[in-house]
Amino acid sequence: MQLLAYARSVRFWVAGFFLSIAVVPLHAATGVPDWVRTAAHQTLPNFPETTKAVVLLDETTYTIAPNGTAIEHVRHVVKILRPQGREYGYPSVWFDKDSKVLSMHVWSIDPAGHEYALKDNEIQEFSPPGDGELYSDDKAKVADPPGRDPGGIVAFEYEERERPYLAETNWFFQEDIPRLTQSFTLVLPPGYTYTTTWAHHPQTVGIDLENHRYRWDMNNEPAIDLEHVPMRPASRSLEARMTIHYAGPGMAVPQDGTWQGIGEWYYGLSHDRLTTTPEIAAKTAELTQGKTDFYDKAEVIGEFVQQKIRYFVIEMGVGGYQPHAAGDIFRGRYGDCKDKAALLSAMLSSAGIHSAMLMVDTDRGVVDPDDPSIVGDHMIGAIEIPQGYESPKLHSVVTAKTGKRYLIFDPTWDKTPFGQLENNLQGSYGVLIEGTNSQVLQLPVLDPKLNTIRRSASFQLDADGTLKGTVTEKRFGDLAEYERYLFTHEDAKKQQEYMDRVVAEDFTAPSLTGLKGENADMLNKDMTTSYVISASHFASASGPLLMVRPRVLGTLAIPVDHEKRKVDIDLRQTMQANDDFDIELPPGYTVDELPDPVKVDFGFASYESSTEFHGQTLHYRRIYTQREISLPVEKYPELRKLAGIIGADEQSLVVLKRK
Amino acid sequence: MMQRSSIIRWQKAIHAFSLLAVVLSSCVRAHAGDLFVKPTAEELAMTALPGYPGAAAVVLYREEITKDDMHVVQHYDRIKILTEEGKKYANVELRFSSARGLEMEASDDTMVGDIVGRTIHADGKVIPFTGKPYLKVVEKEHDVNFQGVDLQKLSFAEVKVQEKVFTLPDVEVGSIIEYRYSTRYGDHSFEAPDWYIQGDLYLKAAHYTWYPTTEELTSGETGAPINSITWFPILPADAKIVSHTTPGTGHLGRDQQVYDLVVKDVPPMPKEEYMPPIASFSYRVLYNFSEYRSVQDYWNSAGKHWSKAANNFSSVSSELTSATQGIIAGANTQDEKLRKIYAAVMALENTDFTREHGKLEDKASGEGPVNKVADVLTHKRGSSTQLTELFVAMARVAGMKAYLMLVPDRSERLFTPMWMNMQQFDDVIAIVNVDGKEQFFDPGSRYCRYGHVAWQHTDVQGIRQTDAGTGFALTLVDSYADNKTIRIANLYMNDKGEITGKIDLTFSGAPALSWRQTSLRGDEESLKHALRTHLENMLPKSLEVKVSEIKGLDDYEKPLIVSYEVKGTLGTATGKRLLMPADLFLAGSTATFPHEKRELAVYFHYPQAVQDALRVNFPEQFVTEAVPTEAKLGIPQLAVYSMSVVAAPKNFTTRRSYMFGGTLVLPKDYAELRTFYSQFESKDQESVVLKVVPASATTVPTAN
Repeated sequence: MQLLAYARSVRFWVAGFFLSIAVVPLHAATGVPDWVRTAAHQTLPNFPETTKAVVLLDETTYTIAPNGTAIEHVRHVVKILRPQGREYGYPSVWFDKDSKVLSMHVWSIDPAGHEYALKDNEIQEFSPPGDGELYSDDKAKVADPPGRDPGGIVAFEYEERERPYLAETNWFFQEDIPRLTQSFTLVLPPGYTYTTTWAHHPQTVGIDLENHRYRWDMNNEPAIDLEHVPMRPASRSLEARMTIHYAGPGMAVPQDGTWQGIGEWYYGLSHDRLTTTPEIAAKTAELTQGKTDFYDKAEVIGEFVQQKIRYFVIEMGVGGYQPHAAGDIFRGRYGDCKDKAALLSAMLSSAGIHSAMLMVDTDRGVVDPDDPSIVGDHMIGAIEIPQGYESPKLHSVVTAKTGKRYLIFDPTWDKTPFGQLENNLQGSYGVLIEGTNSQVLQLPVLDPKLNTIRRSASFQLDADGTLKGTVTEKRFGDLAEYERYLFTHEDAKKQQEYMDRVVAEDFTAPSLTGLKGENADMLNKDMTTSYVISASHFASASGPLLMVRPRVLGTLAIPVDHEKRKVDIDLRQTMQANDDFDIELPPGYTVDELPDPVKVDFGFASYESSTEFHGQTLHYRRIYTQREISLPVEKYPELRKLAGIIGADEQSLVVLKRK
Repeated sequence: MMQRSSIIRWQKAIHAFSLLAVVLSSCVRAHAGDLFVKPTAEELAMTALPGYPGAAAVVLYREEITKDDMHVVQHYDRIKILTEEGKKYANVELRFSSARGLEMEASDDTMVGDIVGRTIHADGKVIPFTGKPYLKVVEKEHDVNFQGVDLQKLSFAEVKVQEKVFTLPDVEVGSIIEYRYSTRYGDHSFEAPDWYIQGDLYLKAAHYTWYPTTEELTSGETGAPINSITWFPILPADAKIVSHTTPGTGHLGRDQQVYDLVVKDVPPMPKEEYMPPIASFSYRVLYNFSEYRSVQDYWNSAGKHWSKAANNFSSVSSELTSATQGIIAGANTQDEKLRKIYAAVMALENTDFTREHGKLEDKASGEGPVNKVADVLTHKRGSSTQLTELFVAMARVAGMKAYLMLVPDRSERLFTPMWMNMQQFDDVIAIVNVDGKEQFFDPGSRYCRYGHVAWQHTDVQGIRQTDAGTGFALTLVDSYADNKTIRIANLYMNDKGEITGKIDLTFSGAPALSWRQTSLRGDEESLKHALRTHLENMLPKSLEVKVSEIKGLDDYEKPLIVSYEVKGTLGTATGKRLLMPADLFLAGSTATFPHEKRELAVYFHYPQAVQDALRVNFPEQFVTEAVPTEAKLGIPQLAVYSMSVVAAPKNFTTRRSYMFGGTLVLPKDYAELRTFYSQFESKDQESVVLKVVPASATTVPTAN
């Protein structure tokens, strides 16, 4: 998964880089500007004690030139409040081959009030390492100013010339620390017009400063602090932002603040890259030979792109948005997400199937239907379903305003079955790139029965507490992702070690043998893991009693906390889990007490469990169904209650006694 | 697993510079097709690696040829892809760094180039690499100064870290990928090769050759003439370095010495939980140009240089003398004096936990640069090394014999004298003769107890100052009694089953130091969160935890005591019973050693003792029906465990004790260790059975 289009706003670069280098000696400091001092000397409101730092001032002036370039001028002042806030004291400005940092100045004031200014040669350059699968020309100018301690102030000012690929700019005015005083000023050439759209924030009208200058003030924005919050939504799905769309005389692709405009721009950028080639056509013909059904043809092509095209990113400048030519991707058999989507489209086209690209973000909620923009980081495919075609295999289906139906498929997510959609995209929005019919679409939330775990086992319990038996675990959908990875990518030693560690969650002295994984690379079949387990001390004796946990293995624990909840809950996925265990008791023992059955339904999820005793065998059954992918914050008490019920049931014991 | 061949002396200099800076033209040119080995039918058909089921890939062949006088290293890798995971080896990142020195001779303009490669499918189809390798500048810095723990300094006008990135085409499972590239070094420097042989893939065969320069060299560090080539080998038993001379083929017709190594069937480096720090002991050969005649000669010289630099920094000044006299005023014995000095140093800010200050900050605060230990005192802050040097200097002022000792960080690496390299050391500790007896101190590990060192510095060999110069020394081993955790809980359950109560965790030694240093890296809020999470992870999730008090955080001589308030519910109810965990501190624990097989020794950080005492008071509607039987387990001379539960009419009390006296358990003893752990960890999970008293048997309170 890689970048498609992160808007590059002014961001402090997180610590790490400077840990590896020596401290650079700095020289005499003069000339801390008055705007820094003014910001530094203001009285702060009371913040929660977890607040690491605060942005005192952030001023952006964005000046668009008639030739399509833009100059971004930024002033930024931050105060560090806690030791952990030091990471906010690394100024950074990102650039690439199509942008240039015209100037950058960094100042700081230490907690004792001493002022510092960095020289130009004290500002370094850095680019993120590829970690084996990325070449990008993104670089940053970064600095490590003095006085980066609690109470210290770090400020910087820069001017950067950009060549926007789209007549759009984004203002991100909320983050994980509070921002006190901030403004965004837009300067347009004569004859230009603009419109704004807003994400996670009410629309606010800008002040007309005259002479084509407009300003927005956004003061006292609270922090979106999600640190230590379990089941948290993505921070970018909560943080407020404004998008400015502009248009002017002579512009090739003016923007009017609609999804259609975004789609038309991207269509123009990408359309010729989706062109098929004779080699692609030949391969497509080979793959689809003998297939006449739409789904069958689309599936075999989708799986080829998903499985046979290696993920590797090469992007420079506009290459962050524009895919490589389908023919090149096919020839090298590698590419990033938009490359894979492009090749998918080209191959489907060869097979007579129309498809479109779909621009999304890997974090649910980042793409906001109210804020048309290119904010997003991922590209997938939307395969048009022939009119009147029906099949029970079609799951991830959306209907556009045109009435056309599309099967949504992500060829980059290599463990999600064709016809389905990975859980993080479910319920989110994406931009369908269909020329003048481009539009925003909400992606479907899939049936829990498409994302399942089914465990079954048959055990024998010995009088000394040892449990022996065979276990079969079948997984399907995203819940099978890691197991499929384990049995296709890792060696036998790592497979064994992983499963040893899994069963160690439930046994103190396990011995796992006969480990077998089946259907790991067959995404449309259950990923089946089976093994034999022997665990001494599984049942524990207390006086004359023997205690046995009927929920032998596997957990459905929900990681709630005891804190007051402030943000919505991301349940991550819909799913269903079934456990079905039989435990044959040792001769001479019978049941003295069984746990009570459990049956609850909260709407968003239900849980049912029972333990029965027949003959000499305990039967444990449970089923958990999670129907929603996210919940409003008000539901947290109910979720906590459900977590408690499941937790108690998982620990419940059967009391055995001698006959 | 690994065997160490006889050690031949070697020395790792940063660079050795030519007396005759001769510019030699490159003659390395890559021509795809001529350079690659033709795959055998067996290689093409290979689908798995015998003995390593599921292996992602295997290195069929690796070649590395170093030609000093051409300032080039030629690399060749042939890799067979066996699984989907193995495809990642087709993405190649070749990282290299270069530096522009303050003087031209100190520059190093390393560059990677001449990249050619290809992919061969299992059916023999060849797909040449025709793409473009991309050059990426990962870091570029100006005015860079480095100083190691051995006080060696390096300064550069500019340092660049770059990568050549490329990916091979059309790679499938079953493909063979191969590529060649060259690393070129600057004309003014010669660098002896390091052959790192063992990695994450099985290596079927490799060939390494070095053609050392025939020019006369001097050391870049000392200026002394280079008189030999040395090497530090860790090699499989059947691998040997072969050296021979080819007359008249070297520079200016001199005799060319050649070093050659062929290795076969090298397994990948093992990785296991609780493994010893063996990363620096993989199969390898590390060469150097040496000016020394023996290992001892090297350490004598390197130790002398370090000791001199350290003593220079630690030299006594009038300010230091005056400050020390003030600190030890009123103390009578050496021990009393040293405790006062230690306390004074411990009170200073350790910038390794906060942030190092630059020269400009020192100037702005009127403190000036840190040139001597007295400056550390003036600044009221310093690095771990500087604080240790200050401590030693003050001890000397106070009339005691005090020495510095370089040690490795045992969490990362171990020291071997056979490898003549000062970069093996991470930290500095102190040795002081107190009232006639030498003791170890670790003032650089802030909040370490007086007379102790951090566990990372225990039980290691290092190099120390002595009255006669320097020499090797061993640090002491901790006892389990030095590192203790005591967990006490007193809980009350009301008639609704609600639990309230107090828990105290008391940490001594290494655990206390760890928590105290956690506090140095953050603040009270972050420490409280970490402490709360620590206990939450132990307890049943049904209990809510709050840190109520932290005692002795700064008082490093005393235990650290953390008090908690807990509330919630506990235990599992059945119709007529309540099943309570006998030791709720172990409710969240899982098996430590779930794997039956083990290749490497088990390595614990330090010996330790953990003692639990819990009392759960319950209401009248319950009586104790059954408790776990008393248990005493152990491994002779190594570990002891005991647990007992005592029932009373209205409560039960659990006492648990775990003591482990060593740090290393050999693979042959793993089964015994695992059995011990399995037994006591099973015991830890047993329950106390409370029975509901029938209503007629309870005393019903009457209204007054």
